[in-house]
Amino acid sequence: MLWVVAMALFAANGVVAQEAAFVARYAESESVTGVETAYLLSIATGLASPGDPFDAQTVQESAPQRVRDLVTQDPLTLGEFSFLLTTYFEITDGLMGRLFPGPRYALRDLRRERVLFFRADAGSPVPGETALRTIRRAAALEASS
Amino acid sequence: MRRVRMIVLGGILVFSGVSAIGLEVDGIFSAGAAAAGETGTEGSVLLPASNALTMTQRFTEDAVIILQGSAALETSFDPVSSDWSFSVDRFSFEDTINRNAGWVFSYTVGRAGFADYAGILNPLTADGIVLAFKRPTLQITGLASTTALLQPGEFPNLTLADSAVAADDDRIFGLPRLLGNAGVFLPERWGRANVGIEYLYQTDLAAALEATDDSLSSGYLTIFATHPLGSRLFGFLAATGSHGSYEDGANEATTLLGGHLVAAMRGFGSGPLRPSGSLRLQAASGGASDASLPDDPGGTDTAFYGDQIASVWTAAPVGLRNVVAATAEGRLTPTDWLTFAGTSTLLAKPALGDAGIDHLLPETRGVYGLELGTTLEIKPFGDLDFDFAGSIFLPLQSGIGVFDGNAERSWSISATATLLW
Repeated sequence: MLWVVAMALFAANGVVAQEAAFVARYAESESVTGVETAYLLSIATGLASPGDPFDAQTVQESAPQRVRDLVTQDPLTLGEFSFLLTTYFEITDGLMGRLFPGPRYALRDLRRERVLFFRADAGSPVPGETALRTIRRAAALEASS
Repeated sequence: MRRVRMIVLGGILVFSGVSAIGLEVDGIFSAGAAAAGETGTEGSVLLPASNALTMTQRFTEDAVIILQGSAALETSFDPVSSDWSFSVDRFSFEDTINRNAGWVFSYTVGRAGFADYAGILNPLTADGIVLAFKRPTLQITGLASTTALLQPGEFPNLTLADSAVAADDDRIFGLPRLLGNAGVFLPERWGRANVGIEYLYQTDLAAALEATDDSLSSGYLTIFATHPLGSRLFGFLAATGSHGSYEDGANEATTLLGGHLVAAMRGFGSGPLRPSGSLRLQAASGGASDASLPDDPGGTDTAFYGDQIASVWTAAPVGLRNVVAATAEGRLTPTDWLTFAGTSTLLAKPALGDAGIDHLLPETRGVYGLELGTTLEIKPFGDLDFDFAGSIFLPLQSGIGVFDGNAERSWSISATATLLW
């Protein structure tokens, strides 16, 4: 079931054929990691091609400088996940987030933009299915703006 | 003494927010200037500033403890004075049960805000328990709480005893009241109509627990409905009946029996300016009383006493009593960060009593006057906005006007900046 949801989320970006297994594994994870999330965000935002294979080192080296420290194999907190999203999709809704970029204000920006509905604190892990749904809403927000 | 205790309390709030682990801490800073007055006189100027800190500790997806405290500084001129105040606006445990099974039960214990289904009350804060049950086409809510732990003035002053306590710096808590509310809301139960009924009751415990004979108890039954009137037009109707009794200790109790009505339409246009507008009729019953408190010992006062209900006029010296107000509002939003609105409110006086308003002709019915207002909202960022507002009331002094020749135009202006940090 999760696999079907994940495929639907990324079908528009051409991920289905090449990276189906990766997306399905991501959707079923209890806590997403920085490097896996950055890989999906790279494809979702067009920074990488759907056909590019997953390579952790490449993903980390190509990540925007300000979030590079988060692009590791470690699980992301909700705040860190939000910071990755706002960085890749360039969601900069708030003044505080521009002055002090980081997980704290990224999380607020996503909630204010109604991208994030996950009821958890900033330090909570992010389940894969929640992460995919949130990435889809961020992509929809970017498309509408 | 009260100030010292409140400062200590505020310090504890801030310290606990900074030191605790796992809390989310959100701040709202607001600062601005407000001035009000009458033509021919020097107006009063206030510089209010406040900062609210909200700490949220989540235990599960639905169970959460929320603590919100605020500090406010208000500087006034002529003479220059500054007044600090600290308050606990919210301290509650909230949980939701069975969110994904077709029905939801939630409860809140502690100090929390209460909102009515009809949305005609100003925010109401008290300490107690709120229960809510929701299904797609049925919502039921119940509230049992007290104002005994609120500071003086945090709940509206309903009696002279309330006003006396609010002016007493040695008082930590205001006069105690019990609040109860029960409501049923039926969203789209019949077509696209939303229908609801709710009852709010407050009983005054001051006479029983304090050295005062002054007490006012009252209940409010509201029936309301909303319904689309077209693809871009929505209608709202809410009727409230109030009852209660007032005693001042020296005379027989006065029975209260009043009414309040709101009928409104709001429409949304299309186009680059994103226009919207509304027409609103708001009426509150009056009586033969000539004071702001009931004064018909042994009799019945038909004036409406509902100080928690919001009104749209700000400069007119007219309370929500003995009034019929017709408001037209227009709003333009040319960009996401800019909104301009203008309002015009005609206020009429349906009953003879003057409800404590100065410069009224005695024993008259007619038109109070016209209030014109405008607001400008600038929101350059999602967490920062600037609000500017101004309004002027033009009293009608001849013909069908109810004011004598000494009434002056009253006005108010304000500018406020708010930052979520």
